[in-house]
Amino acid sequence: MNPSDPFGTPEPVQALSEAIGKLVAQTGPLRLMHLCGSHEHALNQHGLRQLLPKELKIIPGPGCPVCVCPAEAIDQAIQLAKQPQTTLVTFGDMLRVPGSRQSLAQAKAEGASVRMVYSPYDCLKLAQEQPTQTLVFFAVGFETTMAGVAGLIAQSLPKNLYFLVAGRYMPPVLRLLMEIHDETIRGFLLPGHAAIITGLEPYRFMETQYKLPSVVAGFEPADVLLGIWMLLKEIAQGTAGLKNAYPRAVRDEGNLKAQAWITQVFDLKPGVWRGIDLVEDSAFVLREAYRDQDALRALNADPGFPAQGHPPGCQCHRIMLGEKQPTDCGHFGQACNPQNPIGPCMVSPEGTCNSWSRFGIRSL
Amino acid sequence: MSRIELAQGAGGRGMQELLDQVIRPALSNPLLDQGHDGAYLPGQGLVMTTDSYVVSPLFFPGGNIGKLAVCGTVNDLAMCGAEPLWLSLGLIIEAGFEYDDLQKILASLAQTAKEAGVVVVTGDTKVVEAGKGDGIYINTTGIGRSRLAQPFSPKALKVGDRLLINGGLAEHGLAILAARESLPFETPPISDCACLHGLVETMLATCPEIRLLRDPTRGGLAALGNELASASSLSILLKEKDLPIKSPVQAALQMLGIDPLSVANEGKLVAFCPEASAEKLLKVMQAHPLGRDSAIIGEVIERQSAPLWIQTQIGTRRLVEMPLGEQLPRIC
Ligand code: SF4
Repeated sequence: MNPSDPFGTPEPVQALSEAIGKLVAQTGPLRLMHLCGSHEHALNQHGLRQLLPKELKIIPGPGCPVCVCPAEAIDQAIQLAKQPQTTLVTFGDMLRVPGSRQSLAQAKAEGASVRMVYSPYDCLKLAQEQPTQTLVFFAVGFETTMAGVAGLIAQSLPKNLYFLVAGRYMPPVLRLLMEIHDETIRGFLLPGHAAIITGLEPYRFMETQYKLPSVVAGFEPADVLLGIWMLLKEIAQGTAGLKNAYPRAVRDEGNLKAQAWITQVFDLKPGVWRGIDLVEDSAFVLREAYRDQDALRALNADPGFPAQGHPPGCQCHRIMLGEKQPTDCGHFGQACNPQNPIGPCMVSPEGTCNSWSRFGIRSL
Repeated sequence: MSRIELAQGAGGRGMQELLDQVIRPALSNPLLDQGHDGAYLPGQGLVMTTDSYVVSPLFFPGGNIGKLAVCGTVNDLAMCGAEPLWLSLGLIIEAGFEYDDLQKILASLAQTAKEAGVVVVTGDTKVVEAGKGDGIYINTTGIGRSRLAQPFSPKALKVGDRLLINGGLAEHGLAILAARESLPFETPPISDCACLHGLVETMLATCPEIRLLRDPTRGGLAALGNELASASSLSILLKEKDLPIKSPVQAALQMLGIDPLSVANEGKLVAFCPEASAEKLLKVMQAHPLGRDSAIIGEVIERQSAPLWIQTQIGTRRLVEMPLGEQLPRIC
């Protein structure tokens, strides 16, 4: 928490939790869902659920890009990393995600060339420093990350830099959730940093089509509580507004320049969300104009075997849909822990199982 | 598990298991079983400790492996309440290592030892084949003389005891990570690597009722708190708002998604003292150059369902798990 940020101080937190208590006394028991690993992190790091009335449950949803990255993409990344004169570059939390047969970290231990970076722009430098090496950036993330990747690809790039794109776009999965969810979820907390890029409009269908309230929220304790309070207010007055509880970072129209980069570079196609399903128009893929940079088209990324489903016993898919919680899984805290993850929700700090493990959370 | 994993060297739960299940049982004896940073030897009031240094990179802002090899061992003695006297020095050098670098490391080691008033009295040097070491590994063993009437033990902790720390958390671990991964900082974070025996001497002189000292190295404050609370059969409650963390360190760790509580320190100590002495001890620490940012950061509480807890800035309480072993295994 940033101590100088008023949204991290006790006073507004206190006031908001009291206001939330009053509204829940009116609405009765209810469940809200968030879609963002960072919201789960904030809830756990600051113990925010302790401040909420017992009748109000905040359910974690499918909001971890590492967790939903399909095994097939990891298999492809490993295949590329094993090619001679080729280095696969990616974010640190992708390394230990299990693919069908192994993780990138295991492949690296066997000699595959894998490097970790903190920003997509680091691979530009790596490609310039090693002109005879083929560099492949394994791009995994939601809108926020993919906007940065698009900004990079839109530049004129060195010929030896390629992209294996497995990014996902959030609004379509919310639509899917609306089709299959059990209707006990009465409102959605939308991810603040994705909305910084896209703005509110892509979520408008929540209001018009499904008539459920949704609120964009930030990540300091009072940001999260403000989002929850605004959702409860909509519910209490019987409205289904799409609201912004994070105006200090999110403009309603989003970041137009970043949106332009994304549209210039990426198209949206059906894409697999690990454990969930194929989701229409949710996978970022490189447009025709960038085919020479596309690792899937320009290089051999075929591992030569079909991708495996999720590990036996792992409940990640049901956790991401809000049907189960980590403690419902027999592996949780036993065979599966952040050091030895079995399922994808345990790998990334954004994953629900990982977050519950690290913060000792045992119930909603 | 049939093979040692890298994470078992990182000071968290994996390392604990390795020690408890394999190493201690194989060698168990009353002196080893004291389970402290060093052993209080019978009779003479002497304390002995040993530590091996395998840090990567070898040079980092705020120090290098040579300085670290003196500070780390001197601090282990200091945490036993001992005045450090003698060191041994074991060098394992990889063929091909630059003479220049070796000289720099030794000069820094000698300088640090001189400042600390310890003498290197014996040593051993081995050279291994290229590719079989990471440039250089160093082992130092330290012998010191205890200033305590009674050896420190976690069993001495009492409910209400306060925890004090001598300054900002997480600086060593972040400096190593930044140097290793070439993270783009405008001003690179600097390791807090320092010898703490001088500070300890003044602390013990004013506050002989200190119950226990421990340095939060690998696994950071989270590992220290979990370990000591478990050993004392009590629990520890940290106060988030009182934890000294420099704001650039805080910001960088937040960006990297790393919890400052589980990051290593090399120039920090945690002192446990009775509540009534806490303010007096704090003043003494703050008056010392290595303790200007000292703070009272928590207290010992009755045994709860978990050993270590933190009261968050907004007043909620959550438990702090033993780190499982971090992403940065080679930090010291
Ligand atoms: S604990 Fe592990 S195996 Fe179980 S659901 Fe979570 S990630 Fe999957």
